[in-house]
Amino acid sequence: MKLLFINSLKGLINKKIQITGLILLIAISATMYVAANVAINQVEDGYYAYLNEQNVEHFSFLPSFDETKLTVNDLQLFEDENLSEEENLLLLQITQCLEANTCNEQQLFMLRNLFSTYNKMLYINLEEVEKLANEKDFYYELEKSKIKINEKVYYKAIPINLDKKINKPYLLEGNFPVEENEITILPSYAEAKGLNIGDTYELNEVEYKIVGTAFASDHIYPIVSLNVPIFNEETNNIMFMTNETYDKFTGLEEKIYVARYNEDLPFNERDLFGEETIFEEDAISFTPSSIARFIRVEAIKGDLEPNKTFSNIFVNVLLVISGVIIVIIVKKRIESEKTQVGILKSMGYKASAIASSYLVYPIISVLAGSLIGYFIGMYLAEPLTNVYVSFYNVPLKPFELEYEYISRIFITPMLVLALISFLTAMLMIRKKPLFLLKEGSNIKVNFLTRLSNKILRKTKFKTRFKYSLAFRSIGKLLIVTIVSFASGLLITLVLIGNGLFSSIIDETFGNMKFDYIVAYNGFIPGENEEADQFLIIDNEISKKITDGKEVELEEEIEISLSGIDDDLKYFELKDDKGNDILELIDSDTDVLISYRISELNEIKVNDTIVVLINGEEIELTVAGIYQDYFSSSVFMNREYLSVLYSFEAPVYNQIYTTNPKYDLDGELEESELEKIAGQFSVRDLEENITSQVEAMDLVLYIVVVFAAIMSFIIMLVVANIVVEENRKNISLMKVLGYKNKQIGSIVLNIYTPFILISYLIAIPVMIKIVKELLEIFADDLEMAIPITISFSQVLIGMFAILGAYYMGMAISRRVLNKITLAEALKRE
Amino acid sequence: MEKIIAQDISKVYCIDDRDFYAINDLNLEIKKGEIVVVLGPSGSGKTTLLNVLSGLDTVSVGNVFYDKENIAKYSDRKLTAHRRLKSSFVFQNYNLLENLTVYQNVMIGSEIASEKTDIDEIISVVGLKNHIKKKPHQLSGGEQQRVSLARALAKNPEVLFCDEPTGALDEKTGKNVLEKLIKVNEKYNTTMIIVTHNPSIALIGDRIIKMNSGRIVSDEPNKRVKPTDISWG
Ligand SMILES: Nc1ncnc2c1ncn2[C@@H]1O[C@H](COP(=O)(O)OP(=O)(O)OP(=O)(O)O)[C@@H](O)[C@H]1O
Ligand SMILES: [Mg+2]
Repeated sequence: MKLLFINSLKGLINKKIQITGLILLIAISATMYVAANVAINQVEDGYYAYLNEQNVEHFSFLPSFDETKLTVNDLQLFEDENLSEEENLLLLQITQCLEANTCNEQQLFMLRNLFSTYNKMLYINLEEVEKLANEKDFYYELEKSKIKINEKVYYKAIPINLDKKINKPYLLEGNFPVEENEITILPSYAEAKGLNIGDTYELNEVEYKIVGTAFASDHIYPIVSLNVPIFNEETNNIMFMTNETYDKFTGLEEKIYVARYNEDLPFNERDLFGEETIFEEDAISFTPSSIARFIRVEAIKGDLEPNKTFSNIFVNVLLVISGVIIVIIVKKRIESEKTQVGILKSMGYKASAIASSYLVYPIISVLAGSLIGYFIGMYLAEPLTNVYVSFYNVPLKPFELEYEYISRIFITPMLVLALISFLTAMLMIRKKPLFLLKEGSNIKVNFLTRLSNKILRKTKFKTRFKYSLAFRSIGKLLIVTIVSFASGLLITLVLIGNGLFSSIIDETFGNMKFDYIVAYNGFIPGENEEADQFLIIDNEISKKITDGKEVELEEEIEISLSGIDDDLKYFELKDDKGNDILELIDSDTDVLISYRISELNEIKVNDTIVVLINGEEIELTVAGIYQDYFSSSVFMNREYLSVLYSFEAPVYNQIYTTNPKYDLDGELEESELEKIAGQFSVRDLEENITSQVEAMDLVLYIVVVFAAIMSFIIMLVVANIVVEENRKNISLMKVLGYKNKQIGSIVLNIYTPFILISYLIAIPVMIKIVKELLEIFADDLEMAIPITISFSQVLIGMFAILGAYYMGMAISRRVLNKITLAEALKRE
Repeated sequence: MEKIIAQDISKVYCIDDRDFYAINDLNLEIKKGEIVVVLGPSGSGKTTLLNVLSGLDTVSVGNVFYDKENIAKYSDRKLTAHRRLKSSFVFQNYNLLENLTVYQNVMIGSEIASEKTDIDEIISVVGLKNHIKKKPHQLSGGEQQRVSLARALAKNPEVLFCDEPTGALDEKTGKNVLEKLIKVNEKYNTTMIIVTHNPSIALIGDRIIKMNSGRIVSDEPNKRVKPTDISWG
């Protein structure tokens, strides 16, 4: 037995290129797997432990507000506040309807918004909340924080309370504040701004002393303010301070109840916003900030899961490719050793004993490949972990070598590949020894040869000879086709994946002419000369009508109805060819929808969408689709939209402008400032999104580089198989006096058309796969990504594949040329 | 094992719906230590006979006894075991494992032997002492055939089947290989069945069997002649 293994082992050396290719494939797949999983698991383990250790909230709520108890007198609560014109108008309306008892849903809803904007907790019934808490077995506490914007930086101040039951603060370095004006800050902010413990820091004309760095445990994805939903370490900071310091801190205060179940249900079993949501209960209601808080805690999972899925799919795909290659190697090996195997059988060696000797291939390749992959993967895991963690405030657990890694990268592939090799060998060796001993017993003229002979009868002898060689074994052809198909898939991935996300950013922000978006608290009548005005109201598409047929939607599509004017100065709507399509809004009911809405919900031009306004179904016609992968806005005539919402004159609640006075630290008059709910700087947003997308591009880039290397290796292996396959032909032709070039053109080029066809078929298949995959990603990116491939890209891919193939061929032939002719013929 | 008995054996191939008898109702008995030489024109069924006698192939009709054991009734698995323990082959083309050295090629045989054989002794019997480290492709044809013989002997077989062992060799190397065969027979009392179509080689045996169209046409005893003394046809 030992000798049979030695024999196989030595045989390995003769298949250097194939076995090296196989080892590299396994190494790459192990690298990807180890790097991705170690990084993900470290973050994930850290995350779950952190949730439990810090008692992070399960949900947050405001006690429900009992509108039935509301009287006109209660509205006096707002007397001391600086209400905007519009808010005063609303109060007036509500005063009237309350007196007449005719208030409708919408008016009450607006009123509730007003209450929460000004932090009035009225008619809340904490007893009901207490009852619910007992019933549903959760505990809760009130949480306060203040937000302050200064020089573009968003500060969140949180009073330190070490007895907190929920969302316990997590100290990283230094101490929590005990004295007045002592603060802790976020480590990412400290690093970005070069701040150290002991430094002082001025804000609101108060000098604060930094005594430590700390995480707020419910800010795992640290959205500081709803206005900046994307984290940026330079402009987002969270500060803990003593209660006294907090009371003196000036900023917009938010009060919310946070809650945690006594029994720790896994997060994925808790249906927070689904059908059986806790918010269905009358005692509590959620606020927009409940959702933000949910994202802060949960977003990390949306980031980790697809990556995990992806790395698993990737590993399995590679395992399949490795399986195919190992079958080829074992099969070729046994074929060339057919008579030897026959001799061994005639001597009385058992088929299983002979087959086992071929296990050397999977064992060696998996061991070598996985070991290499393991070390590279561990080395890459650290920077990759840091890429993840840079977005999240979560402490890491030290790395532990888990059985799962070993099993996944060593044991599973070893078992799978060993089993395939063994079965392949058994299938071939099982034949009777006499059959194996017979010369040429495997040469069969098959159907394809005959067919090709018929078709090619009129062609030159050389052509006929070429193709009869190619068709002589369908298996061979199939292998070359399948393997180059795999390579084609990978190359296509490289072509479409390269810089995918950044190019979208460029496209989205590149031609924006405005710099600021300003949102108002209420609806403002009249004109703003220096800006484009928008009336934006959230709504839902409840039905769509395609080709005259009504289609029920699985789920309502959330949209923002956006009223615009026809003389926009800064804002543009363009279609996929870059043409301005604003003028397509021809009539009142014409609307423009985004590429995202159209793509995700299959809505086309001329379809009709139905929205509900004031209880009435309004039909709108899709007049055009504008090129935006993020937006869920539906644009229509502002005047008409104002009418639909029963405003007497056209109103707006948002403007797009270039006027620098609308910058976050611009100079605005007090009266206007009061009306403003939020100011976005487009350039800041671009910067934020870009920094996030760069990380995604980095991940994609890694995938692309690996895919390129792999498709290269695969083509090398294919070329090597082709050369090895035709070794006897090549030797024979050399003996007959053919020149290398002639041999090349006759024997080795026969597979080229098959490789090209496989590649061309692979392109649409990969596009489909990527689309499906991106759907998983896009779901949490909230964007639709266009996947296209240009003709020049197809050409580039083709040259890459053929280049690799010819290169592999050159290498294999050089190896072959070293063997003397006499030896080559003797060996056969 | 005392004798091999072939009883009414036939080997039938079906070609184009017609039966073809490669061996036709044949009877034969071979005693231990005998050297039997099988002669006959091409296609007369010599190789086929060797295959069914050795257990490399099965008969269509009839029985093949090794003493009391009827291998004609054996399963594939039992036949494999039978080949491992009882018989050994030397082929016309030597079929050595090209990745292994001469020494390792011989060891391949001894590895599955029922009792361990002395490889060094066998190698010196076939006269390959000076070549043990070489790979097959570094040997001449005669040397390769002797490795193949040594490999067969290393299994310590009771019967050695040789199909044209000198077919690809010239007179000098051919005689050399035959000498080694005789030496082995004398030393280990191995039963040998040697197929050839060279009548002069037949003289080395104790018995000469002539075949034609799947039948034995003559079966006569012979007095052994030393390989060096025969004239090469
Ligand atoms: N697998 C097979 N299928 C059909 N016929 C076969 C098969 N094997 C052998 N034969 C036929 O059986 C006959 C005997 O073949 P065998 O190989 O025994 O001849 P031989 O005497 O060894 O000839 P040679 O001296 O040429 O080696 C031949 O006519 C051959 O064509
Ligand atoms: Mg023969």
